[in-house]
Amino acid sequence: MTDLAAAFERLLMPWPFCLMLIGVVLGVMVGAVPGLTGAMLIALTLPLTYTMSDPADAMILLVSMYVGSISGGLISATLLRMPGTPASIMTTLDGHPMAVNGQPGRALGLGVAASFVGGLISWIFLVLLSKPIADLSTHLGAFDFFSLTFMALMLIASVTGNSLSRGVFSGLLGVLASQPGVHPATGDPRMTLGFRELDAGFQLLPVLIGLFAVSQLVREVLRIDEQAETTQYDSSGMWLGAKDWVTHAFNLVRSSLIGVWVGILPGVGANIGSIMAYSAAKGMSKTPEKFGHGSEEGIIASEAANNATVGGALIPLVALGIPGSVIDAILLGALVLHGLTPGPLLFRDNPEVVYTIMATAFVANFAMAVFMLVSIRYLTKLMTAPRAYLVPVISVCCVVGSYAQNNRMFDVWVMLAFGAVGFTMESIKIPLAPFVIGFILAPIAEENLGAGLQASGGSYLPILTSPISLFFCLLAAGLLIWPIFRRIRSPRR
Amino acid sequence: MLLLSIGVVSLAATARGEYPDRPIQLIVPFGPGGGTDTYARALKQAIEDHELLPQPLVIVNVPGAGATIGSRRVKNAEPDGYTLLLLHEAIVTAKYSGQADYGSEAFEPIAGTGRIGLVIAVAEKSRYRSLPELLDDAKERPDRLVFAANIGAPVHFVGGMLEKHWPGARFRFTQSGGGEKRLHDLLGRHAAVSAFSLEEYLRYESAGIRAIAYCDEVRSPDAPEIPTTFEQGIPVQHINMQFWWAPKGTPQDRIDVFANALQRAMQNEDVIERMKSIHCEPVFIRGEAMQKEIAARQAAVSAVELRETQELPNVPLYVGIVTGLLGAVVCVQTLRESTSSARRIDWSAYCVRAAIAVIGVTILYAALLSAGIAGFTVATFCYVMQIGVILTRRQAKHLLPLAIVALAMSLGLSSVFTKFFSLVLP
Repeated sequence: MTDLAAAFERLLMPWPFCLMLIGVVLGVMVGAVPGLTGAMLIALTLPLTYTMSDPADAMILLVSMYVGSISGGLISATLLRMPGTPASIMTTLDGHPMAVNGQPGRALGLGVAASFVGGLISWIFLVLLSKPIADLSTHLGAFDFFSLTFMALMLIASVTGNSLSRGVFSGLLGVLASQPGVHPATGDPRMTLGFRELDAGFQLLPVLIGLFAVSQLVREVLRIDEQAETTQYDSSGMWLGAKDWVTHAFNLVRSSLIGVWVGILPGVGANIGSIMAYSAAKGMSKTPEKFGHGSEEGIIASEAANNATVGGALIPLVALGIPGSVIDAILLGALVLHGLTPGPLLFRDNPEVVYTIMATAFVANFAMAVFMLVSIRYLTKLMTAPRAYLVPVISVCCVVGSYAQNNRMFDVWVMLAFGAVGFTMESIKIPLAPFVIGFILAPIAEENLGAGLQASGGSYLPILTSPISLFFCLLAAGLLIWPIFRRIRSPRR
Repeated sequence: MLLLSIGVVSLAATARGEYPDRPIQLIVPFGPGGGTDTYARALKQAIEDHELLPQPLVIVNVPGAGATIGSRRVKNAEPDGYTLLLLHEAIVTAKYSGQADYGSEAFEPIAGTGRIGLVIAVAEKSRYRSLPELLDDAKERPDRLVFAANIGAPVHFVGGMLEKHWPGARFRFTQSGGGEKRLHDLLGRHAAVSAFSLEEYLRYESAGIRAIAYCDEVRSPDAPEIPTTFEQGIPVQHINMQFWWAPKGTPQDRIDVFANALQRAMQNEDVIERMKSIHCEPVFIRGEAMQKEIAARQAAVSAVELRETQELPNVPLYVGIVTGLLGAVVCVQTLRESTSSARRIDWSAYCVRAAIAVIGVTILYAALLSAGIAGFTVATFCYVMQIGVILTRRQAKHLLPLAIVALAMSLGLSSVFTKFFSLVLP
């Protein structure tokens, strides 16, 4: 503990503190722009840190960027319906309707507060329980991962709107859209129809931008004739009162725990953390019908969970030297380049670096919250910007964002095509959320099912004989039956 | 000395406005932050710090489909030496695993750099102490020992090579993924054995894994305690090397210019230091030696016949059928609802015409960018102006502010992306 205190003391010195601020601000900005990802920013900053004599300084800068970038996405998701990062996709569902209804300040305030709490809760786990949790997570085999993702897929049934059949249909379309490309478990190309560019499948970001942002742009243009809205857009309500904290306390803790847990698992990213927390919040909510139309609980669940994955993913990195996400892999590379050996021995050999990572994760959370709250006042003005200016600017961002991630125009065409898909789906009242969940989760479920079958020699039995897997299966069955049960019990509106 | 003088001569030549007279794009077929990407950036920095090339080297990440999206782009690029590829033996394995229909023969090799061996490892508490012990067990109980691999990637081929040298031995290969996933599988005892690069192994060793063989003729100076495969009587060599490629038909003098720059970069002290920190021998080969190295890899990989892994359920088929059935139900529902409350679209309304125009202009914009007819800045300026004019109903008072916004967007975005993030815009 004295080591941790020393790390805090160090972090509050002028130069490290400056680095932390720079990292957070750059991270938030990059997170808000689609196409620029935290991974990109950190990978590009890495060479700049070689000149730093102290590896701890480098880690301060990089970890701050990590915290900032995962939080920044909520700004564009809420105000422009354009997910800055895939992790903020669930925030789009409720943040944007709330902003349109005249409460952009409140929506952003809730998001920032939830991000902050999610970060802190995962930080507590990082500091206190790193080692035992990391050891525990290695017991999960391929079938366990499969059952976990399968359970999350079943959540589709619970996030659908009024019509169960439409929700499930949308989810299946999402699964179908994820199928072209290389087979997740064997690497063989499939369903590419001869387009070699499709060998890598449809990329997540262009699909998300297309579904949400592009279809929204078309809608904006169709509303161009409407008179200026009477709604007042302001930043009121961005500070949460004591009552808010009490109402949302349970949701905050639950979503953060889900985020921490998902963050620890390798290969399962922040976007899945927020999907699962969102669905859990909806399943347990007293007002599930509000989800998708500006529910406070939805924003909180999504943002608490995606920030909690940061601390969660740092746990195996610190305890075992296993990166829980792409960004953690880069952080690990940074340690290596500074002559440190990540792994269990890092604690013994270079405790100051480990504690600096922990202290930064803590302080950067405060810096992120303050910076975002200060800028909300100015950002909400975006809502009142005239559409004639906003529409072309956003659509250029969509094009550049889709292009920049993989440096190819193919993704821009994918984005435009999914814009048409999104617009059509919304026009005939098919919800978009299940589509996204199916699209993100199906490849992970299929990869782990494949790996499990390869390991078991084709037997499906271990899905039920492994206790962890069985637990998730039962949960999945429960999740499937519960909404149907609730639908039958409650009279139709 | 001779090599050095070649380098100096070629540098003098390039100063006269010959190749390269514009930035060279280096396609890295993996995402930013990965092993190959950091490797490329280290060399880029050395080349730029010491001005080994008169023009900058721009790194373009084109990940996906087992590196084939990126390699295919270089294969189809203009063979003028301005689009190059950095890719290790995955270029050979992709062909033999069926991920690509071309291999190293579709490119002009420039040079091979760095040398890092593969390590066969088991869990710390595993009962296997040596490679023969492991292979004997794989022979006694064929198809039982799980080998955590990345199906179709080099790690999978190493397993195949081991089997080949121990007749009767059969592993059960399963999809695992990158180094950390394979480590996870060993630690959780989901797999009996796996392979790691020496760098990964030394990083993960203390987490609870143990090496039983190093796939080279001689022991690595960085890990002299690991016995080699050759010592244990199984002559399997697997050394990872980064190769630099140009499209087929690139003039030899341009290839030489780039190879010279690389050679000088590999002699740079910072680079050597960095290579050492990732346990990579900073070797450099070109010409004959390189051709021989590539041919040897080709031979080793093509000798391995990958067995079909476990047959897996045809997910697209099942999902397709269910989606189709449910789609029909939803269709019927929608039709029934819409007949009762049909909302006609007023095609003559300005907003509808505007929407169609906006969509059309956007498609035109994307087409212009992908055809490369107009530069990003010009196309974006025109696009923003055009959309703005449509949406403001051609009112003159909006023209100036629109122009300012358009200018800020086109110049601002292009400078943020190209200067700061060194990305290449269409």
